Amino acid sequence: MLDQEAIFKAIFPLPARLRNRITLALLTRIEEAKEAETPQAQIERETVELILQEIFTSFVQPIEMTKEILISKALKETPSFKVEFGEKAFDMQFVAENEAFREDFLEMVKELGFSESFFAKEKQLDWKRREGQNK
Amino acid sequence: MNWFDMSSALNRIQAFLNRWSALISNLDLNVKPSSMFECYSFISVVEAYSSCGFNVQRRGPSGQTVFKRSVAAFPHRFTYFVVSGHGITHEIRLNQGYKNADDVVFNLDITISNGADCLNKGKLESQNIFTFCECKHYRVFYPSTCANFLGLARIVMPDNILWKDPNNSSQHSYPPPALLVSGSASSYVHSMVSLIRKKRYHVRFFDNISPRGQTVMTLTSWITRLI
Repeated sequence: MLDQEAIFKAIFPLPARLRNRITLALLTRIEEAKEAETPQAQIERETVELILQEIFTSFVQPIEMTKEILISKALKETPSFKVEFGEKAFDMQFVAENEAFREDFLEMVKELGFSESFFAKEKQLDWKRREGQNK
Repeated sequence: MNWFDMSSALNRIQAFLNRWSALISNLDLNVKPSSMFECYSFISVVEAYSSCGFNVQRRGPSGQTVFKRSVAAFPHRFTYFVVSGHGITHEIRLNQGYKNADDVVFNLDITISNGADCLNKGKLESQNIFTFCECKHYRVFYPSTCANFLGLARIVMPDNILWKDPNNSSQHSYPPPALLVSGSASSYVHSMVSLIRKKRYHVRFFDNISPRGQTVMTLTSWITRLI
């Protein structure tokens, strides 16, 4: 069985909303794993991967998206953007301020033994190939 | 010893989260990941048009870019784009209100309309919609997400999107309504795609729409159906 107390302790610094989401996903996965008699080591690895992916999706990926928006040709005339009036303006300084956090996260992912496939878990839906097959 | 040491991995994660807790709280307060994904997808669609040789004009508030996060605001106060080329002009808007032929109003994440300045009282109407995208910032997605989108596309698009022949372009003169998801498709989604292909539904699901994927290239191949 998984040491759920250790998991909750590890993710405690995360915002409550995200902790709840991870907990729910984990409990569902544990139930599935029980039914499928998945080996303990595999569930443990999947658990850590799930936590990392939630951190990536919630905090790291939005920083990468912000950067992509800022460097796009479509925004070449404005150095920043807002998501709705009155909200924080996002600019390259925001990206720079969060770069060390992003790099530290990616380093941790590598250290824990997850490869590039961590970011795109399964093959992309390939319509062209499928269309070709159907011709 | 296990081939994966969960205890030390959890310690490493906890140390990481403790080290960056202030920054994480700040990000949680100021950055809404789903909104950021919508903005990223919106800009990626515009970039895809640009890479297809369209001329791109930014419209809306001068000197600043402000993305629209909800349907409840006057659209012209927010940034939108007009793309023109290959004898056609389209307007691309984010979180746009849309009224279908039966006067039902929807909020669509990204709309592409025929021609420019075609909103009526701030709403896009069925005679002007060209195609649209819905954006979902999910780590993993399942067939129910696809099925929801299929239902939406069916009721939003003015013509029938079912039983279209993919090899007969006269049956679909617009890119298929597309679901853009930041995460990966679960294995069941691949079966859903096969079903969609078999039944010839004129929709597309794109996964891994993220800066690490080939977003613009993917969307370019989607748009090139209209050139």
